[in-house]
Amino acid sequence: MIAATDAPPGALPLLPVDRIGPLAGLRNLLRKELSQWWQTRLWWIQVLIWVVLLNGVTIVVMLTEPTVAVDVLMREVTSTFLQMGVTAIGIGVVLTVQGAIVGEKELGTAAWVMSKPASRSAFVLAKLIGHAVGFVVTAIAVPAVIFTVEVSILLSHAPAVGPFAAGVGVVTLAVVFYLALTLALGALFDGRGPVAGIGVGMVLAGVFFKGLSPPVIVYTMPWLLGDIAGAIAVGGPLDPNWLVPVVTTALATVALTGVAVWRFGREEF
Amino acid sequence: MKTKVLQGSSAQAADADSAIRTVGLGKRYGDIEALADLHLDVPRRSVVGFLGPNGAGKTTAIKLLLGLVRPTAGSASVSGLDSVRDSLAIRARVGYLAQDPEFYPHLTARQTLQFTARFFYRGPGPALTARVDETLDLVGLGDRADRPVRGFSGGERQRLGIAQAQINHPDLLILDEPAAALDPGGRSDVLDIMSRLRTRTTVFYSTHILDDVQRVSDRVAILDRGRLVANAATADLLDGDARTYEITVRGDGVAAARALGTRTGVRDVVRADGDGATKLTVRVRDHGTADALLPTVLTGGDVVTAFGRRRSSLEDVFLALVEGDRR
Repeated sequence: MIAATDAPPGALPLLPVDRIGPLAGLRNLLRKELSQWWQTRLWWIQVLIWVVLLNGVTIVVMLTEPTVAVDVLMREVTSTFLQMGVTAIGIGVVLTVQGAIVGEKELGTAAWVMSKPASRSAFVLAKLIGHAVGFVVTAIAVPAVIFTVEVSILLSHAPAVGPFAAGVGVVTLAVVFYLALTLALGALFDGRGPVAGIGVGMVLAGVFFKGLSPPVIVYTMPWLLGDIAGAIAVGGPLDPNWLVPVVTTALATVALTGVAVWRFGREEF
Repeated sequence: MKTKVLQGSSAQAADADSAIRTVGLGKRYGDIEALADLHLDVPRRSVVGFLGPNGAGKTTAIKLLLGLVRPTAGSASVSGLDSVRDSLAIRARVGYLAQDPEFYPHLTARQTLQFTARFFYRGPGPALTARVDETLDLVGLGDRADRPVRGFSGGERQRLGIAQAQINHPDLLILDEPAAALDPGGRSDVLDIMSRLRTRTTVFYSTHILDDVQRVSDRVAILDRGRLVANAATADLLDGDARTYEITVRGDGVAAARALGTRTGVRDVVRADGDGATKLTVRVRDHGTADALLPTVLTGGDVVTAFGRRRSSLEDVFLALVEGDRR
């Protein structure tokens, strides 16, 4: 039975949101995105995947190469961990986030949310921040800590904290780039196929065509970030132009976020 | 297409008194004209039924008001705010129920309302909780508040839709087919709540259920193939043709029909036999002739059991406007 009533007398006064601006609703939307990570099974499934994949592989490498000198093995597994991180997490980001915008457009929840005082920029940025936090914690930070522990136990050597953290930072940049790319593709296309296809293709192109492509392309893509992360972490020789892909990836991430915001802002529901 | 816009006297609302005002509003999708030249005034504190057959452009018009789609012609304002420029401010004042409301399936009804409420209010927590509880009770979902929405029936989803639309106690409620998915009891409940809410809000709702409109609406706007064909107070629309009268007499009514048909000023008389009685529908040219109808029949010796001006049902009006154009 539906009964129409006004607010009950004596009810506590509700405080309206402060102001309606370009980021209206961001806090609420971000809370929702984070709850989808941390109040569902998603967080521990992601942790499980990345710990098994990244930490498992490095343990196997350490256990199967007992004759290699410890410091050499240490450099090898650290580089492998970070290089694999860029490629594998990149693919994981695309596959996990492919439906973040497309799915909401298909289901109709994007139209529902946009009928409330929430800006379209806030809708996109909440997804970027929410997923970035989720992946950084579950796919990067947790495996990185476990990697440090496993290396300390199996090789009796801990990686140097500063360089290793810098290497992890470069991996984080790559992951956020693929996240922004996936969101931009989700805003541009109405189906998951092009989003997943182009996103995964972008990651795999770095694996297969990095050595075949002209330098101007290789240095402006995020394909070298795994190598750079590994070299920074182990103090190895760095490409003299190593800053170029770091800067272009950072700029591309900002540009892709802008594309996602712009395109979603033009969406009609 | 022939366009007949009935403009009732109370439709001339001043801009300041308009909850919704559109001026030449239109929307094209390529070659398809979804909405054309819509001029509409919705007075504050009224309940307005927005009628039209499927595909008439009702949902497009509603989405234009909320800024969910951009107009290709004209303009619209809600509470004096421009639908394109001030879309966010409009959405802060309006409650909206979509035709097929979709919510995040993993959230419960309570979480859905908490999520909705936080777009409007920043707290305090207990007040938000109280508002959510109050709204759940309002739509009869209190006992299902903690069930995920993915398991809700169509009717429960619709109730949740109404709840989320009015969680902010809006100045204007825009409901797109609010009763379409409900059983008769649920439909009646929804109409009740709409009637009661008129004391504090304007209700603008689309529907194709004519009985609902006749029951609760102060005003009716009828859209057909993207064009407004009627916009008037419900009472004015139902007032019908002032020059058509119905007289029911006992017997076959042949003599009465003949007597009426020979009178000056009578255009035509139509007989319809009933069970021992006959209904005569008489069209007259002027009110003076109408005054003489009853004496004419009585003078002939017939027993009159009913007499009056013919009243239209909304269905008559709707069919005349919408179907009439197609003939």
